[in-house]
Amino acid sequence: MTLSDGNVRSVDGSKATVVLFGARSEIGTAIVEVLASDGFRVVTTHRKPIPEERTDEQGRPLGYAVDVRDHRRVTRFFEDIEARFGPPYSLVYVAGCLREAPIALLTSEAWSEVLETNLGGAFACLRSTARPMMVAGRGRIILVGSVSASVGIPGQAAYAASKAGLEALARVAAVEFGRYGITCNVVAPGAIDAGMFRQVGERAVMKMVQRTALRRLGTAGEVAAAVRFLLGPDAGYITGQMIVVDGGLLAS
Amino acid sequence: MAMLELDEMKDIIEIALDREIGPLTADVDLYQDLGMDSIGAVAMIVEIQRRFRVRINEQDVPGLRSPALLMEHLNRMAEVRPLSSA
Repeated sequence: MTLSDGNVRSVDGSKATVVLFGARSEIGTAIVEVLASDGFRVVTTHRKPIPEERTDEQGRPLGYAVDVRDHRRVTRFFEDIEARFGPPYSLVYVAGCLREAPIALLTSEAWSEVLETNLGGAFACLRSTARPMMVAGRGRIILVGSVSASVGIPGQAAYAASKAGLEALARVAAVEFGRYGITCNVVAPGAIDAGMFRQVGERAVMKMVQRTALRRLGTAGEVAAAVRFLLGPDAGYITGQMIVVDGGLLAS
Repeated sequence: MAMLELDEMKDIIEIALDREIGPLTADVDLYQDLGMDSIGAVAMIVEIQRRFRVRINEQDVPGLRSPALLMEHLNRMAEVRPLSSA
């Protein structure tokens, strides 16, 4: 991997490909913007087909419809991407859903949807991207977690369990993939002024802000900055770690 | 099996096992005799793909228990698509 004039290139001179799941979220959008401006080719996925205008320098589409709960579809998608662009340099998994309910009222269907999207989908992506990265001898995997995995927030049982599972999955991946030069880390946002967090009530938001050392919500751009760092050359010796972007919420 | 192929197979197996092994015979059981596990098996097929640009399917791995079986499998794949070094 070389860095030249801000453009990230693979050793054969082509642009390095980042595959990002969850581009429609505000955090996902912020990550796409910052990585594209750094010179990465950012391939994004959406659960349902949407008009996608982004193309690469050769006019190839960069947006694809992939339901991460369909593991066979995920496998085929990564095969297509590898055939089209070569082995990915990075996987960034932002895809997630939040089905808030107290445990006593949480349906099995809601539980399954959250676990299959947030955790099962991450596993399917890891499995599919592992071999191309291993053969290429390099890779950067970032799974976007949440502080919910570390603090008990009422109503977020499924979400918290899925994000805690993501942390464990990342640690195992870091150890299994490390010998191939692949790093795997978690970026765990706290209270971020973005999409999913706005689904919780205003009182809950104020409570979170008061518990945060910096007394404010974070921004999607601040989460994207952490992802950008982990993709860069200075993060090559960081793996199996969790970078928490929470304004000091967990520290308080 | 040609000596050269066995030497290269030994190299690949040592990378997979992450340690040196003694002289390799064609019929040694990689798992029972050399202590290979599933992590090592993954490393083995990755190294094969790196060197020869052939992709061994995950579902075929459990049956490839010896250098002889592995070479037989690779030769069958070469009949479909010639092997080439990386």
